[in-house]
Amino acid sequence: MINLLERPISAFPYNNAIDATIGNKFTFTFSGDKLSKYKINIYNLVNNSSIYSGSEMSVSDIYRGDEVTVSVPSNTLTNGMSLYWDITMYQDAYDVFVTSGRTAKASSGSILYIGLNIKSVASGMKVFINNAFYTINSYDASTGKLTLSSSAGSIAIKTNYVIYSNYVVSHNFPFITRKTPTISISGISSPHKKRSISLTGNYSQADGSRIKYHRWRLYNGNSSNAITIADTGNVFSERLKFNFDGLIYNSTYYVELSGETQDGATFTTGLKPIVVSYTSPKLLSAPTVSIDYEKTALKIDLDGIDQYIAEDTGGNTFPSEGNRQYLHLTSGTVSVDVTKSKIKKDDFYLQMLSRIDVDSIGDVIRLDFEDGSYRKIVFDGTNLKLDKDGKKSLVLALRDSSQWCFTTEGIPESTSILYEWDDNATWDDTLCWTESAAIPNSFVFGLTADTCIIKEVTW
Amino acid sequence: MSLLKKITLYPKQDVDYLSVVRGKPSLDQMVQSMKITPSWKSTPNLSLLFEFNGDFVSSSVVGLTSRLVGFSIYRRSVNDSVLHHVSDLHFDDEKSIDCLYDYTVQNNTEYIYTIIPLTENEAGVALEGSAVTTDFDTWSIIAIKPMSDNTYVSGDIWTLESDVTTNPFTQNTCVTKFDGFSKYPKVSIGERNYVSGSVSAKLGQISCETMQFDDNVQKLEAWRHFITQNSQFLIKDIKGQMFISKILADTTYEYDDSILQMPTTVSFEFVETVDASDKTVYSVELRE
Repeated sequence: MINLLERPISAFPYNNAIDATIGNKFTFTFSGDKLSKYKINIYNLVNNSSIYSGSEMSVSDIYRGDEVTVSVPSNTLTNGMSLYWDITMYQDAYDVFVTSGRTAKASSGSILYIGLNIKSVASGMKVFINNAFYTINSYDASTGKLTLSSSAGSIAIKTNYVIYSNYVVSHNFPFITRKTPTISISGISSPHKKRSISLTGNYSQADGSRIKYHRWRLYNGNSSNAITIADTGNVFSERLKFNFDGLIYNSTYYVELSGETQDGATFTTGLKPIVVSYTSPKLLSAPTVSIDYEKTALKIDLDGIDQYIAEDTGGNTFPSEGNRQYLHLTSGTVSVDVTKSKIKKDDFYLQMLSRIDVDSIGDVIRLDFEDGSYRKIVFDGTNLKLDKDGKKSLVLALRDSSQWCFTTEGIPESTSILYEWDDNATWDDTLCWTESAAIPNSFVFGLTADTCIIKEVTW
Repeated sequence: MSLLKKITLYPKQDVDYLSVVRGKPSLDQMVQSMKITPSWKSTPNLSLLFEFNGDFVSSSVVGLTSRLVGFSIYRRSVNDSVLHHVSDLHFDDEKSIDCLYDYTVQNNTEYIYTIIPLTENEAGVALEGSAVTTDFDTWSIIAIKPMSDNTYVSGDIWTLESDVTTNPFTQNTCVTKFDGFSKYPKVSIGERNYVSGSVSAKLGQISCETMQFDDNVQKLEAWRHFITQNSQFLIKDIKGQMFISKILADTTYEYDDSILQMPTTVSFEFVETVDASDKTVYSVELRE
């Protein structure tokens, strides 16, 4: 029955960097049949001097494929060094072939003579000669003298022997010691009030190790089922910048910056929360979706979904009365450029609810067109008039019942004839709208390029 | 036609609202309109509405703290919970977007669109529109141009509706059987999986206006130019299939000499080159 003991090929650290100031876990994957004990040694890669020699650790439950972990305490090593380590793995049976040959001299008792300077022979091994095993107590490389733990009897010259051991020493696994890089992320405000974010990574390493690559990842949570929102992959650059646009309001995201130094040390910031909180705009009505048969497509109508901001030159205010908030225009003007809306001169209807001050005399509202023409509503202190490119006419007025109310002569009518409003007239309230109260009055103005009507309403 | 350029309000008045709708109403319609306070929800064709609730902003989007810059548009079929990104549309300072056409819709499928307003700093609340069911009765071939990994813009569109004949579609896969000495064969399956097919149809159709068969040499030349261009095509059939394809070399056409109008029958073969299911083909119409 042959027991196998093989050198491991998977180990950590192995061409990596570790931080000597913290406790480290050295690991290797056992690839023999059964491990009985092991021991690690760490050497200086420059001069092969021993830096650390671990104690022999007996184990009883390590089989092929198992990972063995060896703890190396903090500060056992020193940062800034190039080192290597190996593992001595033991099994119970002495069937690991070391060397063989024929005896150099005749001997008797517990002495044997083999070749000179055989470096693989060491005490603790066993020599098989004349069909018996003997434990080697010592080997003198200069004379070839083996001292055994018991007598082997008389051994003739040129007697065949084989030396076995019960352990294997692994290959060397080089590594370096470097202080753990410090890494942080700046640019996260709490709460974050924008849908976009620009983050910067801050990296430093005490021994001057540079970054080999870095990676940004953004998640929508910090649990195992969190979804990766963005992932840069490994970016082989030291510019640690990350931009993302699309953070949803009232959500918490988690960002991580990780990477590896050129010495093989990995670093990570861990998951850093980004709490997003802002006033989120909301569409008041969904756009219309219709079928376009000619294009065989669905048409999403976005007309009217736009934003216009009027310009106030008078520092006007927004007082409230009851549930109503309104614009109180005291000085200057409030104007808005609507050119981009592409509203055609003959294809619009403007409606405005306004309360005109008692001492207001002059323009109320003006519409300018691209061809230089304009429309204005003007209050002359008595009448509201429509000014069409300089030509003024009285504005048509409506009674609450939506019936036209005054003739140009100031005669109330109940027919469908159009009438004009005269603020000076006194009329029968049962028949028509009258100016029962002094100005200021509230009006709804309806205006097209051709027509203007008003309707008095309660403010 | 001249456009409305500027609206100016003058002092010594209180203004509750100012609205502008598209369309020229009759006098009676104006009278009726005055009875109702306009709102984004209930007033059709509303282009402007200043409500002066503490700001000088007219927008169909509430909660704006910075300038509205565009929209994100998503689509899903009614039975699908996954939203497919259609496009991010950004306003231009000079032009506004009138509408977006989404071509990547299958026939006989009910779709819902979700719109998210975008400002300079914020992403808005997603708002779902009502469902729309496609019911096209033509094949369509749309030349497309790639814009990004998953997005294409549409070019010319041809629809085929008369005498459409499809030959069997081929699902091209890579399955190979190896017979050996064992009881069962080995079967290996590769990644290849695309559809190819061929279609023929009358190029022209009966015009509803003239009741004449609309087919002439100019139309045929336009078709030849269209179908032979070095472009990818979005091909959609009446069943609801949708392929991003290349047209193969074997495109043919013939006409029936026995009929006075000599109606042209065109044929072409296509081969699927890209999975259309996660792609978007769209076009945008700017406000004129």
